[in-house]
Amino acid sequence: MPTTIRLTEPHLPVFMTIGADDAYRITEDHTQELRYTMELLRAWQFSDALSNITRSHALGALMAACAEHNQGLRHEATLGLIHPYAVQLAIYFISALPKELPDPECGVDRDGEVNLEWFGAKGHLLTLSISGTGRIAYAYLHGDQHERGAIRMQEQLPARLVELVGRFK
Amino acid sequence: MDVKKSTIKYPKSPAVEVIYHVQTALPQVGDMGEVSRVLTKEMKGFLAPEPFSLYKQTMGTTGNGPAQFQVEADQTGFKFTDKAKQHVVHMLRNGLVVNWLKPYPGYGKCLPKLKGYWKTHERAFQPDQVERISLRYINQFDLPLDQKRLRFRDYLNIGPRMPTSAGVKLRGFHQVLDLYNAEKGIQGRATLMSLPPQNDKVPIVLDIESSMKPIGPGPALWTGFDALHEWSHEVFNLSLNDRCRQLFD
Amino acid sequence: MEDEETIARYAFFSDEVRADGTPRPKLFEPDKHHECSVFRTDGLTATEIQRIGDEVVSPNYGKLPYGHCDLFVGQVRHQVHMQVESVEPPTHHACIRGYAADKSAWKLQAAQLSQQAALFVRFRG
Repeated sequence: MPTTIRLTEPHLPVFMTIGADDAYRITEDHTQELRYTMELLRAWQFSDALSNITRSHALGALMAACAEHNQGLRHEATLGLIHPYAVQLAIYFISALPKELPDPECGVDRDGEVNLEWFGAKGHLLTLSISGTGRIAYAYLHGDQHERGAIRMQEQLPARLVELVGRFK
Repeated sequence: MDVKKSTIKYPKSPAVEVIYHVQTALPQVGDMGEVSRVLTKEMKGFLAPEPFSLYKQTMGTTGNGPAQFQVEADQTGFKFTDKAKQHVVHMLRNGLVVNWLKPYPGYGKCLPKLKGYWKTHERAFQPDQVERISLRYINQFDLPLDQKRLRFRDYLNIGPRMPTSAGVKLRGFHQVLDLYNAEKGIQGRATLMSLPPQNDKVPIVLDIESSMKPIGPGPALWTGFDALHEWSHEVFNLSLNDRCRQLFD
Repeated sequence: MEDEETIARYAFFSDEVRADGTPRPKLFEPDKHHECSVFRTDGLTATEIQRIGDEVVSPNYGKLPYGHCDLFVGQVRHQVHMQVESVEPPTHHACIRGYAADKSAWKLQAAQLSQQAALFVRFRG
């Protein structure tokens, strides 16, 4: 079972840290946290200005990918279930990105992990996959250079990943 | 004679987005193909329409089964963005939502366009009734830090109040005020929130949304919007003091 | 299979391809058998390529494919250092093999494959 993480990310706006029961926590009680986030998404979905602040375009794309994956589950037995904790962490990751960094393109891996990707010129990309245990597997390509690894989600966004995302500004 | 506060135009207006919403019920046309045909014919001057969906989280875990995030998409209509990307029209099964981004042309210029879009919406969806109208002003402005300090009450009439203490400092806030005008049947919400501070300023969002049930069809819709427009400006002016308003001059 | 041979990977999810038609790494993720299913398309018309997607592959997904992305067998072998092997039936079917066990390692391989592949060819508007 994933442990509770206390969020201390300075870039995370206040409205993202207020949950139904607790502030500044991603909890194992995924139903409450996600319900609150979905309500916020509903409040912002018609606003283009707020969607730039809240990155709700990216969050909406994440929801679209989850919905399509869930539909696929009805037919394709090899697809994995999406763990709610993975979605919580992905929402947190997207929301906590420093303002000057771009939105990711969102998706769901076949195994049910949530993926966030950034693309530059041809041959330049970063892809990371967030699991229900809080593990983030990533791969980075830039021409002949490449890097890969796995990082566990902590109280703040992993510095190495933030640095890599920064290369797509 | 007092100048109506709603007619004051600020050179550096804080409005970053204004959203007009007509919520409807019981559309007679549900076939999105037919809707798409009507809209494509009438909505000229926009980029290609995008399907617009709402997302609903469904049950997460059943009994002892594995935890699962389940969400369903419901395509409810189409989103039209103008070529300059300053203006968005959502034509939806359950209503019409029209956004203007900065620079906001003003209520007087937007209302005729809204009336035109409403006619298109009626032709495309043939709704049985209007449930509610709402008007939302999303304002964003920066309050200056003075040697990394800021007293919010110097600019805001609403907002956080924190007694001075060496051990307790305020870093951010998110406040929602539930407001109403019983006589006019207006319900509203003012959301005031801070964004992460930058070097010499604190960005603030003041999101004022007002809504009402229109007293009838046709012209009553537009007099309803007039009332919401006036009320929104009253809330705006109550929320900020003169020193804050000077930032918009 | 020759290096110059073309193989097609069918896309069934919106998040397998970017809006500009660039394939995303997910398109080349391995399945539960740790391989990636493709079809050999040399000598086939566009209609025949679409028919394979619609009739042979789509029953696995319960829906029609959005389109396909192509690459050469040689790119898989020499740029990404993986294998492509014919696996029939069904006719024209092949598999990309050689994925690493570790997720970050096979993510890198999938990313490299996606960067080698040509732009998406859409079947339907």
